[in-house]
Amino acid sequence: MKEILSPFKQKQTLMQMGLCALVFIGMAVPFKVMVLVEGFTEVRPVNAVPVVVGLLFGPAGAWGCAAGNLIADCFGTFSEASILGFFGNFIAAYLPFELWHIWKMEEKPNVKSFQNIGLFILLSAISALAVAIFIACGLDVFLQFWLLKIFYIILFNNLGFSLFLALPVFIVLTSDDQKIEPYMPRVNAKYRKERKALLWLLVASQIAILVMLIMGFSMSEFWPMGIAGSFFLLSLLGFIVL
Amino acid sequence: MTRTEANIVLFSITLCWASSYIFIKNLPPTLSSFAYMTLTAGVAGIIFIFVFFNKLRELKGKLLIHSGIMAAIICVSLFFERLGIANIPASTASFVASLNIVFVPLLLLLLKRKPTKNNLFGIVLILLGLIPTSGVHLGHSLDPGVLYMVASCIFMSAYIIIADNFTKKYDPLLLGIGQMFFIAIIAYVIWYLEDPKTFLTVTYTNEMLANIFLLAFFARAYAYIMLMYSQKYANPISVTVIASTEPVVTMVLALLIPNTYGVTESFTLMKLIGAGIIVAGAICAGISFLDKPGFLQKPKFLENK
Repeated sequence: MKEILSPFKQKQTLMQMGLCALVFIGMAVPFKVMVLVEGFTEVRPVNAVPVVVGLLFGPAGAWGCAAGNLIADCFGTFSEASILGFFGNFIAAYLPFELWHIWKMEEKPNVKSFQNIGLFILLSAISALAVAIFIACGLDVFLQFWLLKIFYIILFNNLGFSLFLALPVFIVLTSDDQKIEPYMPRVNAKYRKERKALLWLLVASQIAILVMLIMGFSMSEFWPMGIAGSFFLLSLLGFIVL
Repeated sequence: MTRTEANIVLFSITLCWASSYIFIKNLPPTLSSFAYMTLTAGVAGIIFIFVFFNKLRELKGKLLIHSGIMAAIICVSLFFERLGIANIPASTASFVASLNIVFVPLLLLLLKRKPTKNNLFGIVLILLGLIPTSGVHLGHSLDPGVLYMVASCIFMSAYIIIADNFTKKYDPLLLGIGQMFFIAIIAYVIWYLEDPKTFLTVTYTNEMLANIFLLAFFARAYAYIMLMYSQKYANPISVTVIASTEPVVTMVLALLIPNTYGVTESFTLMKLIGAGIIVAGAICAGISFLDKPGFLQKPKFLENK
């Protein structure tokens, strides 16, 4: 919890938050014209931002993305769903940061080996799925709006832009020409086993939800999916609390 | 940046340029190439001013001259390309435009830089693959259009080699920014010579402006900055080899996003075979089994700069 709130205590991390939010708004607003589901989502190259800033700036990047998305929504798509968008984009940035440091404790985020490239792809996939489940099923459970199409759009928007846009940008930002020093977690050494357990819980619940979604169920109408959803939320909360 | 990283960045640029056809298709057909170039490079330049404002004061002296040279070469290449496209069938133009894969190694030979055996084998494969993919037929007459396209290709190849040289000496970011400003200026001058009313002749709609912005962002701002960074670490042949996979990427995108590339896009077995050969050629050119026979026994993945 301390880790997540830490960016609000320092001027430098507050600046990073503001910068991430500005980049997010700058990339999100012009693409509002490329609507995929009216009032909800569009083609979003901006989805490349969270994974990059999450890995580079940690919680500050996550808060920046969340705030940036909320502000960008004010340019035409602001609704109750924007609250889900706020947390969804926070997860999109914070989860890759958490997952990287669970796998590679001491190593700064980089993709200088095939193993690390594989890890980048894997954590992009896990976080894209997490965001898609969180927003699409959140709309279903909290706002009684269910559309499977939204789930797939969010999933592929996040995954596609993470791989084809975020990965090259991340490569350039972590190259020798740039002097960006990635943020390293302060309290990550503690609870390492618990975090690993949370990761497996998250992945298992995500796979279960994905299978049920493909089978045509929705969370608000199918209780086993609701249970999987609870474990999913529990694991996400666990990452924040620990 | 490792070589693998540079290749990933180069592939993302190829992806950007291949997908830019989606947006170009939505532009009015009356918009001339130089109008398109002025608008996209101009918007990209404005984006750079906002994003890299603090860096702009470093844009001076030799760096400015070198970025001007690169911009001029791109504009000359486009000028010839335009003359070529107007005179020959699209398939021939597309094939000749892909001949960078031959001209870059040839120009490098002039600079006494020999391609590897794998490069040469890969280049031959890519050329073979380009024939069925572009739909060019043997026996097409060698008219001036082809010569214009060849000239365009030679300038583009020269650009790749010059960029390789400049990016190793100067800040790639500043080179990219300077280049974009100069492209916008040169393209505007040619546009003015073509049609003095320039901006007044364009019909502005929201859709057109959105597409111009998207192209400026991806095909210009993103692609050129990334190209400069990756060229710093990759050799010119790698750049050309990865760029030569553009027809394959376009084909895959057209399959994934049907109707986006227009009703004329058709897939034949020959095109798919051609795409397969191009990919095989790109892979061959990128590894070194002919130059280092033990390569396959001892795969070496982590190549440092």
